[in-house]
Amino acid sequence: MPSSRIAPDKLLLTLIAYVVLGCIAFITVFPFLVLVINSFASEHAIINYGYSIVPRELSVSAYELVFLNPQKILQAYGVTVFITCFGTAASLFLSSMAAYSLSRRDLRYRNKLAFFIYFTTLFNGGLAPTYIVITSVLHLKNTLAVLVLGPMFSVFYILILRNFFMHSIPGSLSEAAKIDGAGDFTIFLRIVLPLTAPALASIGLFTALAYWNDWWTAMLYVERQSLMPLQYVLYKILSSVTMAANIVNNVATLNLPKESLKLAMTVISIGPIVLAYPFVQRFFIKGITLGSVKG
Amino acid sequence: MRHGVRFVLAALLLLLPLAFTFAGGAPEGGGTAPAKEAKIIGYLLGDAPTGMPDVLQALNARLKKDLNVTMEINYIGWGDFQAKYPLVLAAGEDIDWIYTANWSFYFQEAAKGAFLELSDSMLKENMPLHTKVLSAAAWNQVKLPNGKIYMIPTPTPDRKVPVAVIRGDLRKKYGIPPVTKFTGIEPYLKAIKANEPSMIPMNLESTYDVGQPFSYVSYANDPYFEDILYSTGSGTGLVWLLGDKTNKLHYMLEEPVLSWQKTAARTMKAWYDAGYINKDVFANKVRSKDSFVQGKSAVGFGNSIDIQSTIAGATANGWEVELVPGLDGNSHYRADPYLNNGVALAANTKNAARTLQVLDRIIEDKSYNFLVYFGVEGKNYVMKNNMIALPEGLTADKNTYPPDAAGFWFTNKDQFPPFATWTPAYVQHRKDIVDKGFLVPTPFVAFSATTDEVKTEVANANQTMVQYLQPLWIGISDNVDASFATLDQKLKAAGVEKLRTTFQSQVDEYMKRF
Amino acid sequence: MRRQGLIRELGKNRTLYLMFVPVCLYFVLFSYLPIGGIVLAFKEFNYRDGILGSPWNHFKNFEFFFKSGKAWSVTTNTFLYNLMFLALYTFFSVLTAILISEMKGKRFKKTAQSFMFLPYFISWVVAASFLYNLANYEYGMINRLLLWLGQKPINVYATPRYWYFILPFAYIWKWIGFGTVLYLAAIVGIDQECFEAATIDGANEFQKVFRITLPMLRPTMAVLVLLGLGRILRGEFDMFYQLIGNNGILIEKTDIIDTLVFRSLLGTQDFGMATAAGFYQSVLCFAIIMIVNRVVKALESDYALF
Repeated sequence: MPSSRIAPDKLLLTLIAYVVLGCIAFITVFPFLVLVINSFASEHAIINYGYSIVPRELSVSAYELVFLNPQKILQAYGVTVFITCFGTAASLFLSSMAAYSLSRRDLRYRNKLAFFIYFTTLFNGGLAPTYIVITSVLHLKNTLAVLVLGPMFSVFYILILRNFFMHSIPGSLSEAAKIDGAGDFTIFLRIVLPLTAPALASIGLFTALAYWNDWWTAMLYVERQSLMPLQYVLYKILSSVTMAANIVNNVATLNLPKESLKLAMTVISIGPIVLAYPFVQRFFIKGITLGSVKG
Repeated sequence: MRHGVRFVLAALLLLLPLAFTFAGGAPEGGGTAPAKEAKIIGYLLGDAPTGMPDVLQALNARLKKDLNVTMEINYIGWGDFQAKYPLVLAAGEDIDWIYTANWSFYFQEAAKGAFLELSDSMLKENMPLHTKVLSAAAWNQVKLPNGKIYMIPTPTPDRKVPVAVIRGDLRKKYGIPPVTKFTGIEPYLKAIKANEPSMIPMNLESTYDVGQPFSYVSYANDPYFEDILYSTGSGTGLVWLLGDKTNKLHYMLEEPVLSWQKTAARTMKAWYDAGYINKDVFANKVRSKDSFVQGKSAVGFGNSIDIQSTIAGATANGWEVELVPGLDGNSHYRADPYLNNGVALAANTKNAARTLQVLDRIIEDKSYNFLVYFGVEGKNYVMKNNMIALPEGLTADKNTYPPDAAGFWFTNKDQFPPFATWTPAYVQHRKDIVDKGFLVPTPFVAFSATTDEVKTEVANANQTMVQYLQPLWIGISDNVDASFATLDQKLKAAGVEKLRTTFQSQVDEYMKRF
Repeated sequence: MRRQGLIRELGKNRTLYLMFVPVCLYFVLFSYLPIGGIVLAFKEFNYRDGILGSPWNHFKNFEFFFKSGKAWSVTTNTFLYNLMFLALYTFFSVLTAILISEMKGKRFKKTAQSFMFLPYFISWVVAASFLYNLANYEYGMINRLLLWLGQKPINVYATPRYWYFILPFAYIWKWIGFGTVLYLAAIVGIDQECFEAATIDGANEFQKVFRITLPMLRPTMAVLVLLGLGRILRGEFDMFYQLIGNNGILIEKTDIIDTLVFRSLLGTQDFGMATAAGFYQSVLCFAIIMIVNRVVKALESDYALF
């Protein structure tokens, strides 16, 4: 008898999993597929027939429009890749460092510190004062720094990391290390980080996605063409096509794709990130990181 | 007591932003010869066309020679417009001039102190060309209630009326008589519905089209009327009538306006029920004029200026396009104010005189004007038979600097020749506007209400109008009379009466100027 | 006495406090410096006088919201919708995380998980277009299907009760990828020994899920639910505005604080009123989270946020 015979309850669970996950997977991928397919549909087809599974007329004019100035897109990709990599690395490291301090039960003021940063999610000064601080006080307008710093820290992610640190690391490990003479930072670096790889991977992924998709920071603070990240460039292409046609007498907007342009933009902005995701996925497979927790 | 400490800390932090005081910059002494080079930064709306760097280079070459000035231009995109326009002014940094208009927050921002006051002497000294062209009436429109001027208006307001386009080829195919007035459009809609199953007679969109057909019908047989806060994008329910010498503000839910509205609402409901209008207007984001060009909608809505590209597109598809202007019972529409395009100087600018001189040239000097509007001659446009045309081999969609795209809409457009791409029907329409006297000036268009005392009522009236009037605009209503009664009740609860008395007294005061 | 304790504490754990400094500095600069702007909620702002110098107008900026006749209804709408979203989001994320971790079939698992992330990349603008093409009366996919089956078309955008389903569905659709990843990360961190011991004791898969996995997920659930409650009065503005917009028919049942404020202040450019509305939301969120956190702290101090 093959040892891989599955018990009936496991079978039932797997069956339920297939059904539920299958439905959810379908619901989440179906719109995306429709969007990708219709990004290759002509504007005429979309306006007359809506989104179809099999478009009646194909056209790459939406992509042509986006890549009309390939240099601009490539430069934007470069900016985005840089701020995503650098920003995510910095954010993850510094956030987890702070989260570790907050997770140590022997730190007397940890709850006050947690409240200190949490308070900023409850009350904030508003768009205008923030804008004034960043432009007039900190002089960060039109700098790479503002694109990196803007989305860098999220109180939610810091607190989620704190939660993982508190409940996934047995206290005995830190005690043992301390007895061996290790300092707090060393414990953090050598013991805690490796053990919480899944949590770090997930928060790292979210942070990377936030950087990748961020156009708001650029919209507010960047006017120099060379510093515009991908999402913002795409967004500007779309808004210039959509809005200009409404206001002005512009013969050039004769047959410009607007609806298919929105879709093409979604496809273009997803590209590389979808490739990065499988890489991160391996952290979520059970059994890889365990084993070191014993003892 | 932990909380006590926290609150004290919080209070201390509130005092941190001590740096936020805005001192107005002292304007540069005017009119002297430019000895020191100045860098001037301006803001326009929209997005920089791809050909902008070349144009800017040419522009700066000339500005350096004439005035020892280098100009930098930034853009506020349409998508960010609402959020970013006030922010750029609030920060007050690195900005000398900015595009403004009555619909582009001129009055609101001027009231907040964002713009530099322009005195008569400043203007005469630094803008000789422009002040010669502009009439006193134009400057009169620009003044705030305190009599001060903060904007340089365009010398050529848009000459436009609302205009709908229909498919002449389909009209003739189904034997419908010509549509001269919008109220006569029903046979056309019926024919389309019956014979063209893949088309929607009127495919309306949620922000612009939503109010158009209703509007056209509501004043088709009577004077044109408009909401007092129309230019700011808000609705109050208080309207003025074109040609009404009493300057009275009418409440839209009282006679005579109420009957006009009810007739329009009933018409829209009939059309909605018959399927002449798409059922989900609020969710549709595609403009009817774009839908028209693609062959989905049988009617497209726009105005004399922006409908040109729709006409060109439809004609290129081999269809015949006929225009139906949205005029009132006297064949009139209100003329746009001089405020509908303009420029203002930022309060903190350090180069006031020089900026004015630069703007003077851009607006009134023909060679500068053509450069910023049409681009580089030979590359973006050529003159053919005294008309603006594209250079040989260049198609409209490859032009890196299309007219209007750069955002310099406040220059003197009377200096421009016609475009080679205008169709005969369109040229005729433009002629008609002037020859048949469609446009009637009225001081109301330049009036701007001061809303500080009534901002609560304005906010509530606006959201009430959106929620309860807009469905009537597209005919979704089970009972027109009941819906209007509800709207009336809600508006009164929002405080429309207080708005009426406040605004009427402001209007009366304002009219004394004319 | 207290002072000495503070210094001693800082000295004893100085590394840990230093580790917190970068984050602390960031929030001081980017959140606490501008926070003084909240006073704008009580002022009549103009540029000449700036934030500090503009005159006070006390509660005038709050009037529009409380006199709108809708203050109570949009507050309850925001609260109830967010509560529903939070509950469903937690339920489905935990469900899919458990299923993914338990099931066999690596490739299917990985693909399903990747697919769940795709909606994050679809902006609400595009999602609204998709919904329009799915649900519009004239040529939407749903109605084309209904007509083909011989049924009458439905008017989704004019029937409020459909939206009690559409809105939560859209919310879950957009965020399920995130929630699943977080709970999966927590599940992966559970010591395998517990499961092995349970198997030896004869427990079946379902028992393992309910007796081991779920309880071990409690801390993560607690922190995510608490974080969600702290935002309970802040609506998903983008979603509501793009999907519903100015649809007067639907507004009555689906209006939230953020959309009401947006409609009221369009064209007004009044910083004070906008700040006042935000302040109202902040105060309510603050009150709620302080209470809930206190309660949680009493029950299980490790789960509290602060």
